[in-house]
Amino acid sequence: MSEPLLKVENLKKYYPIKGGIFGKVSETVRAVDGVSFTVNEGETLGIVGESGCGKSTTGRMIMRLIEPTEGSIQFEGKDILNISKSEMRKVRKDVQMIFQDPYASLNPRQTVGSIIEEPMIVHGLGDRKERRERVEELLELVGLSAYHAKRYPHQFSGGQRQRIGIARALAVRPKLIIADEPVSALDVSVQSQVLNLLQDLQKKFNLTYIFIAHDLSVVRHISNRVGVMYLGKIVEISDSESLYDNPKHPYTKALLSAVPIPDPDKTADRIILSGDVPSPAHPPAGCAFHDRCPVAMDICSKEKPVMKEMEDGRLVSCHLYD
Amino acid sequence: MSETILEVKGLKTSFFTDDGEVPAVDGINFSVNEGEILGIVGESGCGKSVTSLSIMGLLPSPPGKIVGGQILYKGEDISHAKESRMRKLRGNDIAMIFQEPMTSLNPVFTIGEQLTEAIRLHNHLPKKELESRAEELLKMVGLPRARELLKEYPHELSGGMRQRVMIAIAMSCDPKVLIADEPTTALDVTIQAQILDLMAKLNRETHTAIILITHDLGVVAQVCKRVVVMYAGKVVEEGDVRDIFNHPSHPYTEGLIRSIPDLYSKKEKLYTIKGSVPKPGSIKQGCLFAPRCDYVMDKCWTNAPELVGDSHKSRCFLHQEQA
Amino acid sequence: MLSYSVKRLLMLVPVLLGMTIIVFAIIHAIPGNPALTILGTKATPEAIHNLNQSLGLDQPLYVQYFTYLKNILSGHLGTSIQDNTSIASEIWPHLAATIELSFVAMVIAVVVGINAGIISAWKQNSVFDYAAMIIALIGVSMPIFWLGLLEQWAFSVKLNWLPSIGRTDIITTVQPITNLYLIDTLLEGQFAQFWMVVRHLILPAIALATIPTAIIARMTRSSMLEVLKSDYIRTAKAKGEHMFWIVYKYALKNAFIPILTVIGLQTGLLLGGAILTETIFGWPGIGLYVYNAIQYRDYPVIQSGILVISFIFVMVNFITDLLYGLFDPRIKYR
Repeated sequence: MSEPLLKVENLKKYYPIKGGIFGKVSETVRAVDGVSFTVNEGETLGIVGESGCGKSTTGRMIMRLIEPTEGSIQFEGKDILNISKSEMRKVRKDVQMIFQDPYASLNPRQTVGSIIEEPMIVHGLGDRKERRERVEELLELVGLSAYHAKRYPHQFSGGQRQRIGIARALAVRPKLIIADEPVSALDVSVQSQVLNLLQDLQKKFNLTYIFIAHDLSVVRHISNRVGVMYLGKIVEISDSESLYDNPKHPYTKALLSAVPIPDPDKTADRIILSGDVPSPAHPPAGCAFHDRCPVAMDICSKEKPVMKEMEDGRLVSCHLYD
Repeated sequence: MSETILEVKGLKTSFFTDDGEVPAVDGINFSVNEGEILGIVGESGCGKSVTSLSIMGLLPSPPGKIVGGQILYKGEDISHAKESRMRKLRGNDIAMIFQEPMTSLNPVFTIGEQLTEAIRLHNHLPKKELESRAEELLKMVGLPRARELLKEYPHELSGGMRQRVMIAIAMSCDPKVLIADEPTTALDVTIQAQILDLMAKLNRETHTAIILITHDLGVVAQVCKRVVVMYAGKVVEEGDVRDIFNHPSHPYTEGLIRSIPDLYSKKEKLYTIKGSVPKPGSIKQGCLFAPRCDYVMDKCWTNAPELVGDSHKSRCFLHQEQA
Repeated sequence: MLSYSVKRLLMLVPVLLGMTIIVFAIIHAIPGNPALTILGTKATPEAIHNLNQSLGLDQPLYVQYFTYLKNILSGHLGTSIQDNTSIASEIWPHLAATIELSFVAMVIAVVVGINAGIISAWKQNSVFDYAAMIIALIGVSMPIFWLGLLEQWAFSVKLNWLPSIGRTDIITTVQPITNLYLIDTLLEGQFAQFWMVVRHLILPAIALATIPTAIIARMTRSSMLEVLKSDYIRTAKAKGEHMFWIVYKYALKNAFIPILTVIGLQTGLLLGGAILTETIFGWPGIGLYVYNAIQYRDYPVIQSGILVISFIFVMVNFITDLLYGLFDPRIKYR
């Protein structure tokens, strides 16, 4: 297979916390702690995990909305952490983001038309007339109508606002779209509409997605490959079929079994994890999951597991598979 | 069959805004039996939360007001009860937990102070027993280090722990009915599993009836015995959880179930219910679901169907013609 | 908490130093020779030279500053030009008078302001709410000297209920112990005198309390409105708690931080900025003391007065900062 579109290696984001009389760094929050993955053109990589696992921070670092502490991000072979400003502008056009809260991410005083037009102006695409035509085309593409361009965000429902957010992201014909919890604020009946739309658009424009979400069913539906994050690290990453049908990492197993299934006859044996996710400022020694892991061994509290490739090509970070 | 503890009869709750009366809940009926778990499911704006606030007498008023129907608690109509009567019922007979555990606890009072408040209000236990009762409650909801927790403040606890505290507060006076409004929506899946497990356990052990209000069909399927499906301020379907999920008779219920992505198998394309939830009061005539319905018939546009059936009720002409 | 207090205390050092530099600079900011300004244009060169020497004005500036600083730290505030008294011993009685007046004014402002704000928020959009907020608006916009004159005219001249001027009757002398007359008269067992002191306090205290009352009422209202909408208030209602306790116990403690900020700021302002009220009511406080000094161009007194007033202002803010933690456990003292 050809070069991946995006290659992330050993990405880290540490936040120092200052304390004491002289404000020295007393502890470090490891929001993202050495994440590596690749995304191929035209595929969807899902990233799942619970709140605070670092999935959103990872997405934002790829957009360089947050500067990484360490690591490299290669987009089309270029290390985007070490390129000139003008080259970065091009990358900014190729990588777009869709946010969770469609209302908060749309300026309430701008018309929908100018919201969608804005990225085109920023990147100097087309003249006024061409941009207006493109806005109308985009609105129809995402299932709205051309006349909606003159309205304001508050006149739309949650699902429609998310469609506007998608149209804005598509305006500059990006290659990669990072979708951070794009459907979690939506009702079930609207959620499925937006998911279908995202899939249709992907086929039409050969888009690549990084789909960040906490809802495992949604991620399975939309992703080709899935990475599971826990406390700033990816614990398991593989194609979605085998990850969901045969999870390897104990955390993935617990996470999957915790999802309530909308079928009263399927009361699966739930693995109920005890306690809460530890603070990323004080992750447990060894494997970060060992204090909640139902199958923890002695070694787990001493040594950090490393990512290993299984025979079927999946990557798992767990001492069970040493 | 066990006895009915709470019955909602033709409840109508409206909000009076500058644009006139907006019906949020429009003549709903359901009942809760002693010790059962009833699920009320629906999307945002269907009136499920307004229903629970109407029962508790906690509607923001103005603009909210109960304009019709009855709420019978042990046969007593509490829909227009005096504030002093409602204060005696709240927290003591009918307790409630809310969606946002992060903001539902008072940040400047200790867990202990907040936990013992309802007991002090309703039971007048002596101070010594109060503390041991509080400890007992925290243990009951599965919180470790109960004694120290009593002296801690909410911000020192995680979201899951706070929701456990909320449950402990709600259970502190052994209520007959517990209304849980989206109790796990703000929580992570693994924590959600813990909380649902806890609620099911408390229901078995204390025999408190639970009204579980949620948008998550998965949660309903796993926890509830009976289900009420609401759409645009009306009950559209009601029945045993198995009947509802295996043989949904209202097209809305069917559409909801089919539009959830499956965890166990991948579908090419998701089923979708077209359009979006209508604004309350915007549809004046016919079935409220008609504009979004795949099975819509001519009469659906003009006539509003009634909720009919015995144990499995549905508000749809399709169902009524089969019957 | 202790580490925070120490840190906060250490931060006071540069603030206080800066303050002394500014106050020190005042006397040098006056155009021309200070000695000339002090002695007047008809002074002989000899007298100017002598004064320069006695004030140390012939020394380099930084030496003068360090001498000044050393004097302050050892409690020497200099002598008054006007009557050659030691400022350090003169200033306390005046300060005590101001503290007593400000304290009473703040008690009125806090009690009336907070309650008015609470009831306005609780009964939002009621007649009480509208009335209270209109009065508060008038209160913040009313010039104090005007209000003071109105009070004197109404309650002293027309009704003859209360004295209009001074801390005491002209014929009575309170034996000073602390110089806080409310305390001194009680310590002496002079209850008639105590009542006389109270009567003298009422009018100036009300005038002084007007603006803080209005500001506190408005802040309390907006802060309470916010809190009353919050989820934990709904939780308290769901427990069956009485609305009175929800408002006065659960909501007020949450709403208190911004109110406390305003109380702190206003207290600081009252202690230093009561010049207008004190002159109108002939109140022998620090404001009047400085005011008189200005009229006589008594620069050492002005300098010391400003120093003491700013010192108090800084300390009141420091105490306010420490008090935050009492009301909100989430405030971490790092």
